[in-house]
Amino acid sequence: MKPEAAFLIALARGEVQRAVDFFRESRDGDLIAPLATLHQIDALCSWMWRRHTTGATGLHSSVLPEFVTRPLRHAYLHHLLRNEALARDVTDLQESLAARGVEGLCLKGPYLAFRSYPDPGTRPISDIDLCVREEQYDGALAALEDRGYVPCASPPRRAEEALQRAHYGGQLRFVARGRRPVELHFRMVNAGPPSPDERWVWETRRDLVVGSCSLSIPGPEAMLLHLLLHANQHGFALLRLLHDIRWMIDCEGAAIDWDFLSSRIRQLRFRAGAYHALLLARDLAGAEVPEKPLKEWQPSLPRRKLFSMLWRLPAARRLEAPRRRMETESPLLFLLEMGSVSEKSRYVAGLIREAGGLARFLARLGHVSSMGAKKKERAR
Amino acid sequence: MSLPVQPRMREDLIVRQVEEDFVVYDPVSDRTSLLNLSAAVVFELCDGTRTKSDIAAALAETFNKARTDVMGDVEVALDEFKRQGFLQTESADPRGPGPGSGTE
Repeated sequence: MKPEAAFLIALARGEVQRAVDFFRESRDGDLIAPLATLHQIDALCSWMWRRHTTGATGLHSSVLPEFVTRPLRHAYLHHLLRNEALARDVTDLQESLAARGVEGLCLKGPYLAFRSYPDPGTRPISDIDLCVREEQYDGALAALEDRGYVPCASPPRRAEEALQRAHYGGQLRFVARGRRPVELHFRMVNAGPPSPDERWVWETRRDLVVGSCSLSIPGPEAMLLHLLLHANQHGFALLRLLHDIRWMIDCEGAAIDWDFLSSRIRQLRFRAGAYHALLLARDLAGAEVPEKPLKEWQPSLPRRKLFSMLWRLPAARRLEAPRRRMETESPLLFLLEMGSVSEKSRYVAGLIREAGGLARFLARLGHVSSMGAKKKERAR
Repeated sequence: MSLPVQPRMREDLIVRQVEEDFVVYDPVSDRTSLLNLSAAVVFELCDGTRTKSDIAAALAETFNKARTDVMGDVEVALDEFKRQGFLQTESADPRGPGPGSGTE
């Protein structure tokens, strides 16, 4: 592993003296800040550095040069204030949803930033993931419009179409000038075909107070499942995904019912993905993961080898895992790691239908792969 | 376009002092700027009631200097605020519909 990557892994975990040792080995300190930004841990690293150099640790802040610390600090300040703006946006949206009689479930961002990470500026949030029941689709659209949001692409007219689009076609995304974008979901588990119902997610929801507003968020098991899925979906390509898991476990501790989570994971046939996400979160982000789920979810040796190869785990461990194209992330996760054969068939049928036929579906795949090839060509 | 006679900051900007740093976040451009101390004071003074000269007088009083000594700082700060789009304009509606940025 490059010392710059080892430096960031150690610093984000709060192991500052180890980080300094890696920094001294580094011959390319200029790479550190861009790598931290790429992995979305620049703000966390800045916070950790400040915390450990303003206390009585014996480390002086000048051990690291300004060309390393300054961009990290700027990122921290940016995310701190941007998250404050986001809290205001979420509060406004929540008011509009309530006025329209819509109950929204705010997925991971506000929970992570305002409850589980050590400081609200340490967890970047780029958009608001809002989950609503499909019966309340019309009300949700109206509430978004009330706050000046407009859809990025023409939104489906009927709720059933919107549900299909969200699972087979792409995210329903809304933007408003001066506000963080909103993505509308109908299921927390949005990989694969939409599950018939996700009552358990709604039944275990709880409140999160952000400023003067109370938001509904998923309960501990649903939240952790969501984060494990998310880390897999993005191919473990960002260290921040593993820190999401780490800080969530740190924050919830004994509140997580691992047996209940196991039953949900088995139901989704997601054991291998969940196992590897936990393992990586433990090894790279310092998550305190109980042994029981690791033992219970551990796949067979051949399955582990296959997973490691398909998901390029050695590269992820070196912070060198490539990011996949957004269009392929969810389908790959579901088709490679989740669901039964019949569910996979149903999912592929849905993807083809939403694309407008097999030819268009193949053309879209071709487009995606040719874009990948062009990118590689450019990189060469 | 020239500076307004009595400059006023956009209301949607978020400005905070975080430890030793003075920070402005612009939700429209999704950009964050750091201000030095005198620019931060000028920022606070741009409330739509003071002219450039009033701002320089208040800044001079704050730092116990002559008004002529701080006028340069005020002009630099105001030009920078204008360039960054921080100042309120008559027609601007910072919260109207428009494109967002970034995705996860």
